Amino acid sequence: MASSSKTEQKKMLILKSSEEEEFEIEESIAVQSGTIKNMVEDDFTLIPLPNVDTETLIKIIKYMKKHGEKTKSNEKDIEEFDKEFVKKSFTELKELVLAANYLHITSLIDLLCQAFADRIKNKSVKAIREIFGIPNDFTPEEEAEVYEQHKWAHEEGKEHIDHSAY
Amino acid sequence: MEGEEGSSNVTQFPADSMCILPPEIITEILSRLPVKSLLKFRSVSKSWLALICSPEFINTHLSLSTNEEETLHLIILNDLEFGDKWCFKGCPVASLFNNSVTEAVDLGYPIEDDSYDLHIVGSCNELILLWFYGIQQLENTRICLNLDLGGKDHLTIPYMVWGMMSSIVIIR
Repeated sequence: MASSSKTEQKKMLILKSSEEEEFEIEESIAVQSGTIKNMVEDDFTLIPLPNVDTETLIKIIKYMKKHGEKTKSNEKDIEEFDKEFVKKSFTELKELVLAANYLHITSLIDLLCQAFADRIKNKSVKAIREIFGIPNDFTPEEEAEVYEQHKWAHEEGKEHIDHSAY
Repeated sequence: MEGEEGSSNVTQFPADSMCILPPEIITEILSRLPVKSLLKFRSVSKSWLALICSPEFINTHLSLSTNEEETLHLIILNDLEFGDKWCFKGCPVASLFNNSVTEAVDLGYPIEDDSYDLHIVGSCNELILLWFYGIQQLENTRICLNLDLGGKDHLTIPYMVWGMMSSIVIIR
Protein backbone atom coordinates (compact mmCIF):
# COMPACT_ATOMS: atom_id res chain seq x y z
CA MET A 1 0.00 0.00 0.00
CA ALA A 2 1.57 3.26 -1.01
CA SER A 3 1.41 5.80 1.72
CA SER A 4 1.71 9.46 0.90
CA SER A 5 1.36 10.62 4.46
CA LYS A 6 3.97 13.11 5.58
CA THR A 7 4.37 11.36 8.88
CA GLU A 8 4.94 8.01 7.26
CA GLN A 9 5.99 5.49 9.82
CA LYS A 10 9.45 4.16 9.20
CA LYS A 11 9.69 0.45 9.03
CA MET A 12 11.79 -0.96 11.84
CA LEU A 13 13.78 -4.13 11.98
CA ILE A 14 15.26 -6.04 14.87
CA LEU A 15 18.82 -7.27 14.62
CA LYS A 16 19.81 -10.06 16.97
CA SER A 17 23.43 -10.66 17.89
CA SER A 18 25.05 -14.04 18.48
CA GLU A 19 24.53 -13.41 22.19
CA GLU A 20 20.78 -13.03 21.58
CA GLU A 21 20.70 -9.31 22.27
CA GLU A 22 18.25 -7.37 20.14
CA PHE A 23 18.61 -3.97 18.54
CA GLU A 24 15.95 -1.96 16.76
CA ILE A 25 16.97 -0.16 13.61
CA GLU A 26 15.24 1.54 10.68
CA GLU A 27 14.98 -0.70 7.66
CA SER A 28 16.18 2.08 5.36
CA ILE A 29 19.42 2.23 7.32
CA ALA A 30 19.87 -1.49 7.80
CA VAL A 31 19.70 -2.27 4.11
CA GLN A 32 23.16 -0.78 3.67
CA SER A 33 23.96 -4.38 4.50
CA GLY A 34 23.41 -6.57 1.45
CA THR A 35 22.81 -9.57 3.67
CA ILE A 36 20.09 -7.81 5.64
CA LYS A 37 18.58 -6.42 2.45
CA ASN A 38 18.18 -9.96 1.10
CA MET A 39 16.48 -11.12 4.26
CA VAL A 40 14.14 -8.15 4.20
CA GLU A 41 13.17 -9.05 0.66
CA ASP A 42 12.29 -12.46 2.03
CA ASP A 43 10.00 -10.72 4.53
CA PHE A 44 12.09 -11.05 7.67
CA THR A 45 11.73 -8.34 10.29
CA LEU A 46 13.70 -10.11 12.98
CA ILE A 47 17.18 -10.65 11.61
CA PRO A 48 19.31 -13.16 13.48
CA LEU A 49 23.03 -12.58 13.06
CA PRO A 50 24.71 -15.59 14.64
CA ASN A 51 28.11 -14.56 13.28
CA VAL A 52 28.18 -11.15 14.92
CA ASP A 53 28.68 -10.61 18.65
CA THR A 54 26.96 -7.81 20.54
CA GLU A 55 29.95 -5.52 20.85
CA THR A 56 30.70 -5.70 17.15
CA LEU A 57 27.05 -5.31 16.19
CA ILE A 58 26.78 -2.13 18.22
CA LYS A 59 29.72 -0.66 16.30
CA ILE A 60 28.27 -1.75 12.97
CA ILE A 61 24.91 -0.19 13.77
CA LYS A 62 26.68 3.03 14.74
CA TYR A 63 28.46 3.01 11.37
CA MET A 64 25.31 2.34 9.40
CA LYS A 65 23.37 5.04 11.24
CA LYS A 66 26.06 7.60 10.51
CA HIS A 67 26.33 6.62 6.87
CA GLY A 68 22.57 6.38 6.58
CA GLU A 69 22.30 10.09 7.17
CA LYS A 70 24.77 11.00 4.45
CA THR A 71 23.94 14.17 2.59
CA LYS A 72 25.98 16.47 0.33
CA SER A 73 26.64 18.81 3.20
CA ASN A 74 27.96 16.45 5.83
CA GLU A 75 30.68 14.68 3.85
CA LYS A 76 33.45 16.16 5.98
CA ASP A 77 31.61 15.11 9.08
CA ILE A 78 31.38 11.53 7.87
CA GLU A 79 35.06 11.52 6.89
CA GLU A 80 35.93 12.53 10.45
CA PHE A 81 33.68 9.83 11.79
CA ASP A 82 35.35 7.21 9.59
CA LYS A 83 38.81 8.32 10.70
CA GLU A 84 37.84 7.94 14.34
CA PHE A 85 35.95 4.75 13.67
CA VAL A 86 39.05 2.84 12.59
CA LYS A 87 41.13 3.88 15.57
CA LYS A 88 40.76 0.51 17.17
CA SER A 89 42.96 -2.43 18.04
CA PHE A 90 43.77 -5.01 15.40
CA THR A 91 41.61 -7.50 17.26
CA GLU A 92 38.60 -5.20 17.06
CA LEU A 93 39.31 -4.39 13.42
CA LYS A 94 39.45 -8.08 12.58
CA GLU A 95 36.11 -8.72 14.27
CA LEU A 96 34.66 -5.75 12.42
CA VAL A 97 35.92 -6.69 8.98
CA LEU A 98 34.66 -10.25 9.40
CA ALA A 99 31.25 -8.92 10.37
CA ALA A 100 31.23 -6.34 7.57
CA ASN A 101 32.14 -9.08 5.13
CA TYR A 102 29.36 -11.35 6.41
CA LEU A 103 26.89 -8.48 6.26
CA HIS A 104 28.07 -7.30 2.83
CA ILE A 105 28.52 -3.67 3.78
CA THR A 106 30.81 -2.66 0.93
CA SER A 107 31.78 0.81 2.12
CA LEU A 108 32.69 -0.52 5.55
CA ILE A 109 34.75 -3.37 4.11
CA ASP A 110 36.67 -0.82 2.00
CA LEU A 111 37.17 1.48 4.98
CA LEU A 112 38.46 -1.31 7.21
CA CYS A 113 40.74 -2.87 4.60
CA GLN A 114 42.26 0.52 3.86
CA ALA A 115 42.83 1.02 7.59
CA PHE A 116 44.57 -2.34 7.81
CA ALA A 117 46.73 -1.53 4.81
CA ASP A 118 47.72 1.87 6.20
CA ARG A 119 48.70 0.36 9.51
CA ILE A 120 50.60 -2.67 8.34
CA LYS A 121 52.59 -1.32 5.41
CA ASN A 122 55.72 -0.60 7.43
CA LYS A 123 55.46 -3.61 9.68
CA SER A 124 58.00 -6.38 9.80
CA VAL A 125 57.17 -9.83 8.47
CA LYS A 126 57.12 -11.22 12.02
CA ALA A 127 54.63 -8.59 13.14
CA ILE A 128 52.38 -9.43 10.18
CA ARG A 129 52.37 -13.10 11.14
CA GLU A 130 51.41 -12.20 14.68
CA ILE A 131 48.67 -9.77 13.69
CA PHE A 132 47.03 -12.15 11.24
CA GLY A 133 47.78 -15.37 13.13
CA ILE A 134 49.73 -16.86 10.25
CA PRO A 135 52.26 -19.58 10.98
CA ASN A 136 55.51 -19.50 9.05
CA ASP A 137 55.47 -22.50 6.75
CA PHE A 138 58.75 -21.79 5.03
CA THR A 139 61.83 -23.80 5.86
CA PRO A 140 64.72 -21.55 6.90
CA GLU A 141 66.31 -22.14 3.49
CA GLU A 142 63.14 -21.25 1.58
CA GLU A 143 62.64 -18.17 3.67
CA ALA A 144 66.20 -17.05 3.06
CA GLU A 145 65.70 -17.48 -0.67
CA VAL A 146 62.54 -15.36 -0.80
CA TYR A 147 64.16 -12.76 1.41
CA GLU A 148 67.23 -12.63 -0.78
CA GLN A 149 65.22 -11.96 -3.91
CA HIS A 150 64.06 -8.68 -2.53
CA LYS A 151 66.49 -7.76 0.18
CA TRP A 152 66.15 -4.11 -0.74
CA ALA A 153 62.48 -4.13 0.20
CA HIS A 154 63.41 -5.25 3.71
CA GLU A 155 66.11 -2.71 4.31
CA GLU A 156 65.52 0.06 6.78
CA GLY A 157 66.73 2.83 4.52
CA LYS A 158 64.68 5.89 5.21
CA GLU A 159 61.72 3.97 6.52
CA HIS A 160 61.44 2.79 10.03
CA ILE A 161 60.58 -0.89 10.20
CA ASP A 162 57.75 -1.40 12.64
CA HIS A 163 58.02 -4.62 14.63
CA SER A 164 55.06 -4.05 16.86
CA ALA A 165 51.98 -6.12 16.38
CA TYR A 166 49.59 -3.39 17.51
CA MET B 1 54.13 -29.34 13.64
CA GLU B 2 55.56 -32.67 14.66
CA GLY B 3 59.14 -32.77 15.67
CA GLU B 4 59.32 -29.01 15.49
CA GLU B 5 58.73 -28.32 19.17
CA GLY B 6 60.73 -25.33 20.23
CA SER B 7 61.71 -24.40 16.67
CA SER B 8 61.73 -20.70 16.04
CA ASN B 9 59.43 -21.26 13.08
CA VAL B 10 56.57 -22.36 15.30
CA THR B 11 54.92 -19.51 17.11
CA GLN B 12 52.18 -19.87 19.66
CA PHE B 13 49.48 -17.30 19.12
CA PRO B 14 47.19 -16.03 21.87
CA ALA B 15 43.59 -17.10 21.48
CA ASP B 16 42.23 -13.79 20.26
CA SER B 17 44.54 -13.54 17.31
CA MET B 18 43.32 -16.89 16.05
CA CYS B 19 40.54 -14.84 14.47
CA ILE B 20 41.63 -15.74 10.96
CA LEU B 21 40.70 -13.53 8.03
CA PRO B 22 39.50 -15.30 4.88
CA PRO B 23 41.56 -15.01 1.66
CA GLU B 24 39.20 -12.53 0.00
CA ILE B 25 39.73 -10.06 2.84
CA ILE B 26 43.48 -10.60 2.86
CA THR B 27 43.40 -9.87 -0.87
CA GLU B 28 41.44 -6.66 -0.31
CA ILE B 29 43.98 -5.53 2.25
CA LEU B 30 47.04 -6.47 0.20
CA SER B 31 45.61 -4.76 -2.88
CA ARG B 32 45.89 -1.48 -1.03
CA LEU B 33 49.54 -1.83 -0.08
CA PRO B 34 52.44 -0.12 -1.80
CA VAL B 35 54.62 -2.37 -3.94
CA LYS B 36 57.55 -2.30 -1.55
CA SER B 37 55.45 -3.66 1.30
CA LEU B 38 54.07 -6.38 -0.93
CA LEU B 39 57.51 -7.56 -1.94
CA LYS B 40 58.48 -7.76 1.71
CA PHE B 41 55.33 -9.61 2.69
CA ARG B 42 56.02 -12.39 0.24
CA SER B 43 58.09 -13.78 3.11
CA VAL B 44 55.10 -14.07 5.45
CA SER B 45 53.99 -17.51 4.34
CA LYS B 46 53.73 -19.72 1.29
CA SER B 47 50.13 -18.79 0.68
CA TRP B 48 50.92 -15.08 0.84
CA LEU B 49 53.82 -15.66 -1.56
CA ALA B 50 51.55 -17.46 -4.00
CA LEU B 51 48.88 -14.79 -3.70
CA ILE B 52 51.18 -11.81 -4.17
CA CYS B 53 52.91 -13.36 -7.18
CA SER B 54 49.72 -14.44 -8.92
CA PRO B 55 48.82 -12.59 -12.14
CA GLU B 56 45.25 -12.11 -10.91
CA PHE B 57 46.45 -10.32 -7.82
CA ILE B 58 48.92 -8.21 -9.77
CA ASN B 59 46.09 -7.04 -12.03
CA THR B 60 43.85 -6.26 -9.07
CA HIS B 61 46.62 -4.32 -7.40
CA LEU B 62 47.34 -2.39 -10.56
CA SER B 63 43.75 -1.36 -11.00
CA LEU B 64 43.65 0.00 -7.45
CA SER B 65 46.95 1.80 -7.52
CA THR B 66 46.64 5.45 -8.18
CA ASN B 67 49.31 6.66 -5.86
CA GLU B 68 51.48 9.18 -7.66
CA GLU B 69 54.29 8.78 -5.20
CA GLU B 70 54.74 5.24 -6.30
CA THR B 71 55.54 6.18 -9.85
CA LEU B 72 59.18 5.74 -10.53
CA HIS B 73 61.33 6.02 -13.52
CA LEU B 74 63.55 3.04 -13.84
CA ILE B 75 67.04 4.14 -14.63
CA ILE B 76 69.38 1.61 -15.97
CA LEU B 77 72.89 2.71 -15.52
CA ASN B 78 75.89 1.37 -17.21
CA ASP B 79 78.29 1.70 -14.37
CA LEU B 80 81.86 1.41 -15.45
CA GLU B 81 82.89 0.97 -11.85
CA PHE B 82 81.43 -2.48 -12.03
CA GLY B 83 83.17 -3.31 -15.22
CA ASP B 84 80.54 -2.46 -17.78
CA LYS B 85 77.70 -4.05 -15.85
CA TRP B 86 74.16 -2.76 -15.62
CA CYS B 87 72.79 -1.13 -12.48
CA PHE B 88 69.17 -0.42 -11.75
CA LYS B 89 67.91 2.61 -9.92
CA GLY B 90 64.53 4.16 -9.59
CA CYS B 91 63.54 7.70 -8.81
CA PRO B 92 60.37 9.78 -8.76
CA VAL B 93 59.14 11.34 -11.96
CA ALA B 94 59.22 14.90 -10.72
CA SER B 95 62.86 14.90 -9.76
CA LEU B 96 63.90 14.06 -13.26
CA PHE B 97 62.46 17.30 -14.51
CA ASN B 98 63.85 19.48 -11.78
CA ASN B 99 67.47 20.33 -11.72
CA SER B 100 67.64 19.29 -8.11
CA VAL B 101 69.74 16.34 -7.14
CA THR B 102 67.92 13.22 -7.99
CA GLU B 103 67.59 10.80 -5.17
CA ALA B 104 67.58 7.44 -6.74
CA VAL B 105 66.41 4.38 -4.90
CA ASP B 106 69.00 1.75 -5.39
CA LEU B 107 67.24 -1.33 -6.58
CA GLY B 108 70.19 -3.26 -5.39
CA TYR B 109 71.98 -4.69 -8.30
CA PRO B 110 75.03 -4.56 -10.14
CA ILE B 111 74.41 -7.61 -12.15
CA GLU B 112 76.93 -10.21 -11.30
CA ASP B 113 75.58 -13.29 -12.87
CA ASP B 114 75.31 -13.40 -16.63
CA SER B 115 73.78 -16.82 -16.77
CA TYR B 116 70.17 -15.65 -16.38
CA ASP B 117 68.06 -14.17 -19.09
CA LEU B 118 65.81 -11.23 -18.53
CA HIS B 119 62.94 -10.52 -20.79
CA ILE B 120 61.50 -7.08 -20.46
CA VAL B 121 57.98 -8.28 -20.89
CA GLY B 122 56.71 -4.75 -21.18
CA SER B 123 54.71 -2.07 -19.54
CA CYS B 124 51.10 -2.31 -18.77
CA ASN B 125 49.33 0.53 -16.98
CA GLU B 126 52.63 2.00 -15.88
CA LEU B 127 53.85 -1.19 -14.39
CA ILE B 128 56.84 -2.73 -15.96
CA LEU B 129 57.53 -6.30 -15.06
CA LEU B 130 60.91 -7.70 -15.64
CA TRP B 131 60.74 -11.41 -15.42
CA PHE B 132 63.40 -13.63 -14.09
CA TYR B 133 63.60 -16.24 -16.75
CA GLY B 134 61.69 -19.33 -15.83
CA ILE B 135 59.65 -17.91 -12.97
CA GLN B 136 56.52 -16.45 -14.49
CA GLN B 137 54.90 -15.08 -17.59
CA LEU B 138 52.53 -12.20 -17.74
CA GLU B 139 49.81 -12.61 -20.34
CA ASN B 140 48.36 -9.25 -21.21
CA THR B 141 51.27 -6.90 -21.66
CA ARG B 142 52.35 -4.65 -24.44
CA ILE B 143 55.92 -3.90 -25.23
CA CYS B 144 56.37 -0.23 -25.88
CA LEU B 145 59.89 0.59 -25.03
CA ASN B 146 62.02 3.18 -26.58
CA LEU B 147 65.45 2.02 -25.83
CA ASP B 148 68.73 2.02 -27.48
CA LEU B 149 70.48 -0.94 -26.04
CA GLY B 150 73.49 -0.52 -28.19
CA GLY B 151 72.97 -3.73 -30.04
CA LYS B 152 71.81 -5.85 -27.15
CA ASP B 153 68.24 -6.91 -27.38
CA HIS B 154 67.95 -8.08 -23.85
CA LEU B 155 69.50 -7.41 -20.49
CA THR B 156 70.71 -9.94 -18.03
CA ILE B 157 69.69 -9.64 -14.40
CA PRO B 158 69.62 -12.13 -11.54
CA TYR B 159 66.54 -10.85 -9.71
CA MET B 160 62.96 -10.08 -10.38
CA VAL B 161 62.31 -6.38 -10.16
CA TRP B 162 58.84 -5.12 -9.70
CA GLY B 163 58.17 -1.45 -9.43
CA MET B 164 55.83 1.21 -10.62
CA MET B 165 57.41 2.84 -13.58
CA SER B 166 56.37 5.04 -16.38
CA SER B 167 59.45 4.79 -18.52
CA ILE B 168 62.88 3.30 -18.80
CA VAL B 169 65.78 5.60 -19.27
CA ILE B 170 69.20 4.37 -20.10
CA ILE B 171 72.06 6.52 -19.02
CA ARG B 172 75.58 5.84 -20.09
